Amino acid sequence: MDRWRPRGFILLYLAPAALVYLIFYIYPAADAFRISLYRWTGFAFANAEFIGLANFREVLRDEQLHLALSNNLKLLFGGGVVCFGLALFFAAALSHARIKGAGYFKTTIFGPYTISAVGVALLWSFIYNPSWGLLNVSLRAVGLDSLAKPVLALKNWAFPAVIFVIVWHVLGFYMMLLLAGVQSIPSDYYDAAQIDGASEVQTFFYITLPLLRDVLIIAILYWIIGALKHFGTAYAMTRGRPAGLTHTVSTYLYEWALPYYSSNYRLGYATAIAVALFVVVLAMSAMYLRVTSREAIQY
Amino acid sequence: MAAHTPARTHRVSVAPLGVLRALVQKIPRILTYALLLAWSSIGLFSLLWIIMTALKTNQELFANVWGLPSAPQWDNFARAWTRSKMGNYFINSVLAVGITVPVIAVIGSMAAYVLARCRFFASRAVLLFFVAGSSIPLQLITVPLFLFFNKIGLLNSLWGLMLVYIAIHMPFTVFVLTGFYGTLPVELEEAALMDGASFHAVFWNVAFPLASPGIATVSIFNALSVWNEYMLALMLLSDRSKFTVPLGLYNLKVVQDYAADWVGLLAGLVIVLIPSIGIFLLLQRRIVKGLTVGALKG
Repeated sequence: MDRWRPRGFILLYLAPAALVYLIFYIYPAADAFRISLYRWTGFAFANAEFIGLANFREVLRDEQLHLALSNNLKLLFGGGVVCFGLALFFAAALSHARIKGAGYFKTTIFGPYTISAVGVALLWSFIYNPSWGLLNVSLRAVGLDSLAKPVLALKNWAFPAVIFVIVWHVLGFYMMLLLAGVQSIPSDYYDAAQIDGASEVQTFFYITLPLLRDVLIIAILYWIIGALKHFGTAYAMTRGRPAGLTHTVSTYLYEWALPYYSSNYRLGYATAIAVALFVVVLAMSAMYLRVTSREAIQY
Repeated sequence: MAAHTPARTHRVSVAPLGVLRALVQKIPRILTYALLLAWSSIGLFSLLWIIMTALKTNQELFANVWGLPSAPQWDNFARAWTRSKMGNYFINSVLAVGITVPVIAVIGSMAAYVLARCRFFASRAVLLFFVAGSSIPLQLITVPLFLFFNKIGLLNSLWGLMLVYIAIHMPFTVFVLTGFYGTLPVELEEAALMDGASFHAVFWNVAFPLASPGIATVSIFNALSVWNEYMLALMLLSDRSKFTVPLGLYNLKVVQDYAADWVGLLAGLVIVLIPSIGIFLLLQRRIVKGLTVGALKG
């Protein structure tokens, strides 16, 4: 089969996929670079004014954008630590022979991941509702009235609350990834550790974790990219409120592309932000892979 | 019975200490279960609470959050489906998924098969070309697509959106299916060829059917992705009647923020959640299996 090259067929069979892909994905992506060089306040091309790199200069100065980026970073590091801490713990626990009910836990922890970002955002908006939401009502029921705050309206609590929701949403996915990794570690290693009298904790840190390295590296890469690009849940939950404090880079970008309260379209600027985001994601991924590259562990 | 006694001649009764030690050794396990239960219960309780609350009236909601509804207000769901147009949104999303997922599977398979079997001079480059697309964030193409569709009149069109959905799922689909077709045994195809079958026949009658497990897995992910897609739909659809479920849900929230028909909104949310969860429970195993295949390949 390797040597068979029915030329006409090759083109014919590649064509549909390649064409759709080119026209509706690659071409727009390339066009984005061009659009970012314009000031574009309406829909028609006539409104476009070529301004070169001015949009990018503004990207570097825009404080709101920097605030949004800081939120993405909070999600990346703060959320990442919580997410991976829990995911690793759960993955180790659920692959342990002596923990019962693994199937139930896997289902209930992974389940939220199948709900759409908007659904999750809505669900948690209800839970966070100051007067009748599950959170505050529960707190009041156990007498912790002082802690029952309007979380999504408070300067210091709003975005952390959003981060928690995002982590809750995706934890199951990362847990499953790590679980698969743990389960692919041959039991010989664990047998040897047991013979040598290692404790659970020692086994985890000296055997499980190192052998999980490759899966962990990929999982963390997904997380980094996801945290930098995050849009859905943050947008549907708060859309930047209060006062733009819960914006991520992507939701902020949308405020210029699809403004709700004003008619200030700035399509060129929005695209410039997107281009900058793309570059940042690429750069971070490349750096990360550079730093973590090493020979794959053979076992 | 040992005649030789150990050096330690005096042994205090260690029964209580033994029990304590056994208990202490159990603590990590107790804590583990506690954490697992706590985390998994968040979702479970929230879901139950939402369902229960969706069956109340708005007054009951404010009066007693924990209480059960006095009479289940199925009417809330009817309202959400018709007046709040959840029904419409459902139909649009079902249409979107029902059309895009099979198309993706078919044209993705065609490309993947060629890339897996026919090692022509550019096959590696073409595969890379497809895969590279996965590094393109959707944010990058939203505005260009908006302007592009505006120019060619595909704006505010479910069909236009579907074309984009097909395009953006090519990287993942072609990548996975190329690998999958590569693992199919060549013998069957070679046998068919020797029997005089054309390339077309070999693909459609032999390879494509054989690939159904891989196609099924990929399609489940694609279906989930299209069903839940939000960003592009938000940008490219403006007519409420064309909204897909995520958009409709968000619109509902915004509208209800003014109307304060909370239970109606909750009912709308439940209508959306139940099928997602139901399908997930049905297809769990396959979803999880498909997920982890990619990760382990590295």
